[in-house]
Amino acid sequence: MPDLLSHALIAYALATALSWRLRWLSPAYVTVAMAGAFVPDLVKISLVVDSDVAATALGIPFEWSALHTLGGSAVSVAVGVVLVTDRERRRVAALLGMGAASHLLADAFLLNPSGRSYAVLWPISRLHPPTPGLYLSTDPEPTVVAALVALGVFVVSRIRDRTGGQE
Amino acid sequence: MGQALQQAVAVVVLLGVLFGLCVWFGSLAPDPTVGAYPDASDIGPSPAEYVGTDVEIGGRVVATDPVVIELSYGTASRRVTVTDVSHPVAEGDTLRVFGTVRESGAVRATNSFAVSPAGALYTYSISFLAGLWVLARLATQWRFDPARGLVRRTTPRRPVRWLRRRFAHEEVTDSDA
Repeated sequence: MPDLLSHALIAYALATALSWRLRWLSPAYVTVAMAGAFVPDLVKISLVVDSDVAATALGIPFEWSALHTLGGSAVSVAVGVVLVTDRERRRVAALLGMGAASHLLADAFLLNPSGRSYAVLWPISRLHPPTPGLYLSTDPEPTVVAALVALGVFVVSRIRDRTGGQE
Repeated sequence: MGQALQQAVAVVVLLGVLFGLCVWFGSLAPDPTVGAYPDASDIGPSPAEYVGTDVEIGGRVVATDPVVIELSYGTASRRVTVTDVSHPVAEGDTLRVFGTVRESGAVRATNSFAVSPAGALYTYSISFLAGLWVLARLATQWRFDPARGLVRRTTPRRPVRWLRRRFAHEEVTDSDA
């Protein structure tokens, strides 16, 4: 879903709900998942340097959209994993990956005039899967839904904290 | 090799891989059988090549009768007439179109929708706020150690409490600093 706030809220809700099961998953790790949800949108660098402009300047084909795919996001996540201290790498890899995956999945439901999504699994597959066209990146409704879900998860988490995490 | 140096080398290598992926992706020709339709950067410079094919384009509406959009590709742009738009559009909207290129260079829309400029402004502002939110969380929960990289703070900073103490000239204790 399109705007970064929706993506951040989805990752927050997922990671916080997961923390009910995984005791080590503290708010600091929830933040990692939220940062992971921003990863595929590194493609927005194209707003600063257009792909065609870069291609002309370099004299070779070039397309930022590669960053907004499984392959591009996996490598971007790896950059984040390298930047943290070695003891944190496995957890950070898992959470950044989860955040990025939730972003790619939510974006695969975006409305497109062709009815086809984007090459979400590239370079494994170039297929643009059909999209249900649930929303536009400029619609506020997905943000509202994501915010309500995140709020629900937040409240449940608070209650669990008070009761000592008993089920 | 020190850890910091290893990390720097790994980042440079990974950025090289990302660059390679962008070049690879850029070299892919449109392929409608997988849903990768020609877009503005394909049909912009050479519309004649795409007569009769389905394309997916978008652009700012500059006229409404008939509907004309500004098709940008790289630093260049071209005006393209879009026919068979089934819903009302206003100047300044962004019209996204799936349709067929005709001999005249016009695109006959099979499906299209318009996004108002207000929608884009909303998305950019709210995304900016989300960026600040996550950045603030990162800064209070993680810190950068030049020798080891990003390290989790054992006691997260509480910015409001920290500032209050600062201004009260109390001693600030930060077990991680």
